[in-house]
Amino acid sequence: MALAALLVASPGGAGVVPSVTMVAPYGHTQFTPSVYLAGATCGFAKTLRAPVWNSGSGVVSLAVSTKAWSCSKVPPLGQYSNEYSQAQFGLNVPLRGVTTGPHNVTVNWTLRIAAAEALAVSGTCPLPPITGSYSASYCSASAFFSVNGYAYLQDLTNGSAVYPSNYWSGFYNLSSETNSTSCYSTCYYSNSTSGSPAVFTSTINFQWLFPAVGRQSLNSHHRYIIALSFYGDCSADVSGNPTGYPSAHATALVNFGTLSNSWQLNFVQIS
Amino acid sequence: MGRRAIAAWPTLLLAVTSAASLVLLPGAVGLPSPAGSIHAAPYRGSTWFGYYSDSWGGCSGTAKLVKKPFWSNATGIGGFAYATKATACTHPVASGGTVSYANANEQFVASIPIHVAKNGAHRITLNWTITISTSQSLSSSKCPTPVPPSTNSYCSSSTYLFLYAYGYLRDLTNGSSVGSQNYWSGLYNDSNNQSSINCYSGACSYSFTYGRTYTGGPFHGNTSFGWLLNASGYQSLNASHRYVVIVDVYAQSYVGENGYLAGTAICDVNMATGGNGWKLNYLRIV
Repeated sequence: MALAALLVASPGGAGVVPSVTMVAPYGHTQFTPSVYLAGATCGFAKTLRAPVWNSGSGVVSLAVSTKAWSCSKVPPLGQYSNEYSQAQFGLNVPLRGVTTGPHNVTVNWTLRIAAAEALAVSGTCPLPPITGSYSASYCSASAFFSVNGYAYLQDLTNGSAVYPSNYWSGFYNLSSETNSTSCYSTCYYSNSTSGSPAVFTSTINFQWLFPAVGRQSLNSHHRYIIALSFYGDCSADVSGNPTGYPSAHATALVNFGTLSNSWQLNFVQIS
Repeated sequence: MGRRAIAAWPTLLLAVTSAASLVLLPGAVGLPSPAGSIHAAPYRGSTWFGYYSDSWGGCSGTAKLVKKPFWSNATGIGGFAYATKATACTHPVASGGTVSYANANEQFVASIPIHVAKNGAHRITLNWTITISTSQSLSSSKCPTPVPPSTNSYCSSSTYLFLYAYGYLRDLTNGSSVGSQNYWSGLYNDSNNQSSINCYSGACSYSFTYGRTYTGGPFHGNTSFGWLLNASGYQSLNASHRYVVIVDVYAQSYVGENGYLAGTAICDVNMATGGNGWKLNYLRIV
């Protein structure tokens, strides 16, 4: 492949560094997918699509989901339906056509995403059973999703790195509800809620800027890569002791892998 | 109710008053029978929870949960099944090197209520049988010589399995527990290969290479065991308290291939299908 991805533009102005733009197909890239799923009886954590890289189009797709609900029969040790899914990928893109001197390197990508989390709690947290002088109960339900990514420019020859001058803040949304009671002579109650469920669909275009200038100027004799890493994770949790909420449901989803959702590397430009 | 009279059992000593409870009836002299009372499936009133945690990554690691952790009150059988596999990479990955891996952790915890009719010291036996089929394999080809300017290459591969179970008595009224006097050693198999090549002035040689297996495997068939819980002294049982017997069965596996030009690491565990499973045969309380 190698240089099928290479476009070279030469600006006319004197003193302007010619720019090199790499687009798909991206040859000689290195891709690392990874998945982590953790779940319990009353719920599930799963990948809807494990991370896949298409070097021909520059597209990565992944999708994960979780769901948790109150168990109909709760063991005496309590309920712990904590469902968590995470999928992530690392991508190394070698830079081509590097010339010696100061440069700005731009990594431009588009994320088409659908993410959602929802929480439904009905009924009240049961009061603690009266046993001995102290008793307590708690109920918790929560859901969240998050998506984030970062990148750096690495010099494979001497091990140094250039970090972007800007950052992408990603997405995060959490909603939770907890209720607890503790009794010792007198009972104390607490209840808290935070956040609110969200449905998020968007197309985001972003670009990282790497100022390879000064002592970090590029060297045509060195080998460079753009090292990217992205993840999407989500959690749904219904927990409690001794029983938790009698009826709670939590669900969360991150999708940039199906239904036209994806992450795409548009171009890498050296200017 | 799940009870079973043993042939030589004086049936008058066994009685059950509720679906979820085992009742000890005193013998003729007002004490529990020396043989005690026995409780077998169905274990009505029992509750359980299952957990799983699986991860995989690199070039071609996979962890597949074939059967989620389960427990059946009706049969007293619980289990799970999974398959993990890692194949050596044909190309470097972005995380560095050539790595494939997979992890699997599965567990079920069952709580079986018992009713104690009389205060005092008791001995509880939990008799069970595990029927399991495991498959582990490990192959690794050549560890590549380092590519200059690197002067060293390191390769490793492994397949690891550990399955364990334990049981104890829990007093739900005061939160105390009585553990077993004896322990099952579990199932353990860990095989691995490692190689390292160093090059000096263009000449390369293995600094070490070895493979080893720490214990036997694979495991096929069944084995039985009995935990002994001695609730005596300050842990003597109280008829006004609520008790459960808890059994906790879990397994963890890891497979990985790192650096070798070819090879596959596999660890499959079937304790769920085809007659496999972990069965609580009976509880006996004396």
